[in-house]
Amino acid sequence: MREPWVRQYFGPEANARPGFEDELADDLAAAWRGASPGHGAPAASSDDLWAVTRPDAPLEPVAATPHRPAAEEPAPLQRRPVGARPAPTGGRRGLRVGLAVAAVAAVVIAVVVRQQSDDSTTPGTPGVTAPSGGTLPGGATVPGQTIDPSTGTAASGGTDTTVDESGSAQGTQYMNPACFETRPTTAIPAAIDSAVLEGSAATEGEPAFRIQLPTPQEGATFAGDTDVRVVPGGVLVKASLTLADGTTSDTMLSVVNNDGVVRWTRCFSNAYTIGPFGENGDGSITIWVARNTTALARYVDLATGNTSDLFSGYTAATTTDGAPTGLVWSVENNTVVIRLPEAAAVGPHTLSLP
Amino acid sequence: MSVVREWDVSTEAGFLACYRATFREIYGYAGLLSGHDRDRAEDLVHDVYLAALARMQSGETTTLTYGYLRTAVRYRWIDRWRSEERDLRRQERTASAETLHDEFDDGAAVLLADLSTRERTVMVMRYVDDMPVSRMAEQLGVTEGAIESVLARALRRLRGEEMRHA
Repeated sequence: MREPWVRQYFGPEANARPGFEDELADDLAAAWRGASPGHGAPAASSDDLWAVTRPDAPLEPVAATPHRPAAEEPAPLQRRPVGARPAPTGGRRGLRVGLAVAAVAAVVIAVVVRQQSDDSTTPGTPGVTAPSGGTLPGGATVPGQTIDPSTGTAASGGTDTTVDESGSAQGTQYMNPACFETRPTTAIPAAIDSAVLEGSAATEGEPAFRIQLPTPQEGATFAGDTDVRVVPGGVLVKASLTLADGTTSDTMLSVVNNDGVVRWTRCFSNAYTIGPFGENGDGSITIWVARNTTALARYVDLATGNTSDLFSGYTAATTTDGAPTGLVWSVENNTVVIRLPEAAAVGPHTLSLP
Repeated sequence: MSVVREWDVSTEAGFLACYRATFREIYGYAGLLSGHDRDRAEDLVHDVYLAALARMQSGETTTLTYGYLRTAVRYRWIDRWRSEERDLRRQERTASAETLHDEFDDGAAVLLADLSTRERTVMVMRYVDDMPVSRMAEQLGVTEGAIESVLARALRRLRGEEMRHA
């Protein structure tokens, strides 16, 4: 501290509560011996969304591989023939009544399920719903049943109660162009030595990465809810939107390798926060959506982008591991500028996401 | 020449020794950033040490330094600041009201903890961390002018009270 005069303005807040040091020591000792430090043992990544979204697709160049199933492409609209319609027969009238009842029931179910989902911060962002026994992309679940991501079929007896975006198909809705998912096609470069990353970031010259994000819908911005972390062999970029009404929505999550290649991109309709690094101990990170004091979270494999199903009960803890001293980034006009120490010898790379 | 103290945390005893040796400074730093919100300071410290433990257990490192822990606290704090922008705006409104209250009513000395979150954070980064304004601006994602403005306002609040009570 170069200017100790500031000490005169220190108050009691700089002193710990009596007993806290010992309490935390006990917690750390317990954690050392294997107790859970923050939540239960990390679940294995149970779903391979790539297999679900493009089951048989060969690896293709990253930018050209949207993980959007062909079945999702909307059929072209066709004009209905104009003319006097025949009076409905008794059978057709009954069918219409039945369809109307079914439609109303579907809307009611969708609303109820929607209220149970985790998307409370995102008005107008649709969750995924499916009728009983139906299938959903990406291992999404409906009450009482889980969709097996490897087969795309429902398995009974599941306990998940959340219906949420799979991150594979519907993706974002406030970005132009819309987020689309890509998967790994190349080897992961070697990680930068952590000692190098703790050096001073370059403040002049070309940045290591200059990444152009999509254009947000009018009134929305990436500025307040974007995050960058250093991961083995690259950087993790999380871009979420703050909408004009102050709510948050849409997340594009990508890892860009140190050689400038996009390792993978995932899309979510929620605004996720990046959770603790290293905590999972399996090369994955946790992303979560805050919900009161706990969070709905999922694990994301940094190497492949595969995610686990959403799980609840996660105690959200923000962290900055993966944010060494040498990482400096900013968002300027929808462009993420990332600087690393010169000794890291990364870039300059200019690219666009998705 | 400063000496960087490094602890071997590859054993439980080593990790806890590091914890005991650094706790007071690390908590103090978290406390300065958190102001009157003691729960938040405890959360910060708790998370930093647990993350360090997890980092060690995952094999990423076997040593820890005070600088690493302190940097982790700062980045966590900035993270929270960014993710709680709505709260921040509310706090700033409250802080504005507090400013008037402090300057004209009760005569109580203003401490760092009495500043708004934004003012307190830039004060700590500038005068406790001794960080250049340019780097602060990059880390906080704002302009240097904005940093200077907040610093000036915070200093006015602190020193104005100091002069009035002298």
